[in-house]
Amino acid sequence: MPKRTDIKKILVIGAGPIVIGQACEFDYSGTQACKALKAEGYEVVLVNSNPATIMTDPEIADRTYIEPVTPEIVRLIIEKERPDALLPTMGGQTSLNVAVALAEDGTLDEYNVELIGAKLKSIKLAEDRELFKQVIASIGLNSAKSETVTDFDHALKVATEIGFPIILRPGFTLGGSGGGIARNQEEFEIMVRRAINESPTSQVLLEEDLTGWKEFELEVVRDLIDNVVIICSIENLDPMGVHTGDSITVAPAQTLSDVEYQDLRDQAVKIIRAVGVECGGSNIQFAINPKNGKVVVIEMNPRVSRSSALASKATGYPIAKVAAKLAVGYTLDELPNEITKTTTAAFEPSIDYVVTKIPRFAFEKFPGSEAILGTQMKSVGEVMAIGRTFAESFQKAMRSLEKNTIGFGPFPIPENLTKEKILIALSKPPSPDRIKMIWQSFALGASIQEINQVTFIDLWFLAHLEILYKEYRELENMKEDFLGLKDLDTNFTLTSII
Amino acid sequence: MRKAYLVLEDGSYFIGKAFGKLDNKAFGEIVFNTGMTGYQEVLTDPSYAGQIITLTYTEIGNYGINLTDNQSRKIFASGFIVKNISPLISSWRAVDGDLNSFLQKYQISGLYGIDTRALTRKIRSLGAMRSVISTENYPELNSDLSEQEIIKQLLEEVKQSKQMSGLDLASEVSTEKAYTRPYDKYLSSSNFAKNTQKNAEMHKKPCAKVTVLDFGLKDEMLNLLNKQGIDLEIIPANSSFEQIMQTKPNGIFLSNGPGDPEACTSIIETVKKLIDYVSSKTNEDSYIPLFGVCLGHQILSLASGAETFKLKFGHRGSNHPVKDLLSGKSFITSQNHGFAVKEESLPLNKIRITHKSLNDGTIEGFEYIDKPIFAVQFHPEASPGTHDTNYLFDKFTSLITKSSN
Repeated sequence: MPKRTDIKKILVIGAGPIVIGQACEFDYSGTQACKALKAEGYEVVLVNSNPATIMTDPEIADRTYIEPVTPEIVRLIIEKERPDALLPTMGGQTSLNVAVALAEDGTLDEYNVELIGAKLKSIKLAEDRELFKQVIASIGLNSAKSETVTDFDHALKVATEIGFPIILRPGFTLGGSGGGIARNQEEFEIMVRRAINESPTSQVLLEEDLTGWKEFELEVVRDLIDNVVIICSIENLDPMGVHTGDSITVAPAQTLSDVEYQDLRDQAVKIIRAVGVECGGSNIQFAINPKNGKVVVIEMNPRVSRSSALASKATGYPIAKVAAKLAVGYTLDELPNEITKTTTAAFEPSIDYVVTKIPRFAFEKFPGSEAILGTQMKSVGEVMAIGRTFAESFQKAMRSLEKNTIGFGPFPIPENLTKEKILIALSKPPSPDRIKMIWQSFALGASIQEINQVTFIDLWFLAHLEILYKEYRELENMKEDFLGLKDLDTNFTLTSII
Repeated sequence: MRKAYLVLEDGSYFIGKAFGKLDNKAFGEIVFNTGMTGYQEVLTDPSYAGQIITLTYTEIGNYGINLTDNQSRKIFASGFIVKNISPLISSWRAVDGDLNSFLQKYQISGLYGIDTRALTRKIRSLGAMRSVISTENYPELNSDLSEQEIIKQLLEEVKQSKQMSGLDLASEVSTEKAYTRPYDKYLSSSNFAKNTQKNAEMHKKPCAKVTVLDFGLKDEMLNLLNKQGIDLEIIPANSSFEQIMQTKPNGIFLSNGPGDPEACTSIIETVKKLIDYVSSKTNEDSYIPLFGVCLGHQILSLASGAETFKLKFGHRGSNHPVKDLLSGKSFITSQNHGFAVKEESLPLNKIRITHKSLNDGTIEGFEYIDKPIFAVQFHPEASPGTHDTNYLFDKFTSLITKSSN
């Protein structure tokens, strides 16, 4: 299908201020979308309250409003600009929430503005966890045991049924703020009160704890004639329990056989169809029990997301740009493949390398915050590295963190630290230091099996980390013969040469 | 660690490490596959007979081996080249050991630790070539035989080895004896992810009988036909028209297979007779739908008067986009072919093109305008690959069950 000519002016909503859980990835996607729509001849109106973004540069949109991204303000902009369509999928959750509010209060109908990219029904289906679970069940797939509560007493009752530890996920919040894992009744009571307060709808999902299960994501793109492609599979090094934004993630998935991967792919295709995201990109997350392969659908984001920004960079497939063009009626086979230029966007990237993303934390800048990773996102940024093998890309990513390390180790071993102590520390809720602690565990003689038992990090990842550790030791042993420099410069450390 | 040598027809060579069968020289046409999962399915796909496969994805062997994923009775590829072999296997499904012992079991040599991207680029620019992997022990290396001399010798041997063009390998890899596979066999052989929901779709009794011409078929084809409620009889590639008819089929399936389609001369003659025999009238005994996949597609096109040609470096991988020209929809398909059908040679008075590659525009499928005959170049059974085009098996069944007999 060619592009639509019945719409001329499109309003794009940006993500607003940069906060934890919603950062420059939405500037990246929004900028791509604005450029793509403008190139197609549409008049693009942009609203974003953050002037420090690329998308608010004068040449990106035809008209830019640096105003608060709230339903009230966007309504005024609609009144003034009278756009034909609203594209809400490029500005993260903020943008979707505003679009939902404007659709529900009748503004969009009143001014005859069409939601493109995702319809109200699909946004609500994907975001309302109870409805989403019903959809998942209706297509024969599994989701975690859970129930949504809106008041404290009901929450206590449900928690008793599901048991501890239990996960709290407040609805419609940024980066899952107000969420977490409660390990006992006491923790739960404090956390659930906060979660109910944080959610604009007071909805909190209480969920079976899948800690230790492997976590995977698929980036899915669909067009208006129901062509569906998977842009990228992502495997989290950190098992379930750590927010994807805080997890070390690796593309493509490493530990799935073709049979299992195709099963996930089939599930993802079924889900995007059932939720009815008629065109554009979505991110679908799965948990897999490493003991028996049981698959549980975790969630879906019916919009471009942090992971789609990563997937775009990892594969060269510009998801936001393609999604914007799909929203105005193109089909995948009508759009060019940005890498080859000669073929079409109806393809699934196949890569011959491994991509590793490592989040960057800055707990020192948030006094009082606990350096513990859970279901609420806490990282302030991330690095991504490409290598031909996992070890290479992981090592590059570690270096890029600029945490004064030359890669995975060496790290100092405190004098009183023992293998037993470090394994106990690793068995506690994961901290941003877990990678350093894994290196220390190797140094103190722990096996990958012992580390796996306390962290649930897949043995495959641990095996590669162990190889990196051993490689370091070998180099260190060689350094004197190798360099013969020991006496020349006492300040010369291994750190400065590798 | 034993060194291993890969020497290509153009004189270039790579030195890596050996795995799988040692003390061996494996000759074959070197090809690359871009799938990121499914090494076991690829190795056991008979279409790779006579070929040395390199995978473009780098971390291989991670999830071990599960024999239910095998696509045939053994490894047909003649050699295997990867960048990195997993230091351990991590999968609850890996009940049948690791990749190295799998290759050893079937006596196949492998090589790892080379720059597979450089190798792939070479194949892309120069085309598929004859090559050899040597995992021989060269004790002389320490004395007077230099590495360069070993490579020179291997190159001489590569130049003496067989060319893929002109090779009828289908007859070689095909089953020697006919055998049957009742429709409910699928239930007992079902493996992961095909359980529950798909089993529930099983028919209570077989709806048809299909005869499968085995040119080097993959197990998943039989599974998907069985799943349609179809009883199968699998017969050798060189079965005559009369032998095929003796099996009293309601439909005939022409499988995938290795080698040069134009070299399969006697098979093509037999298929010509089949095409002539097949009637479009559902009330006649000769209403026998034909469905061809990959080599089956090429043979059906040759038997229809078209020609094939050798692609420079073939289509091998799990992510090949194909457009269904009838529905306008695009699908991601699994492909493995080194030859393709010449578009201008297709007799368009009796055939219409149904599928085309979105990568290079080559023919990916056609059907007869007035007969129940259709074929696709890609692999609708995938394994490895997506299930996007499984619907073609539904199409075949619905053609067969139209018969009023």
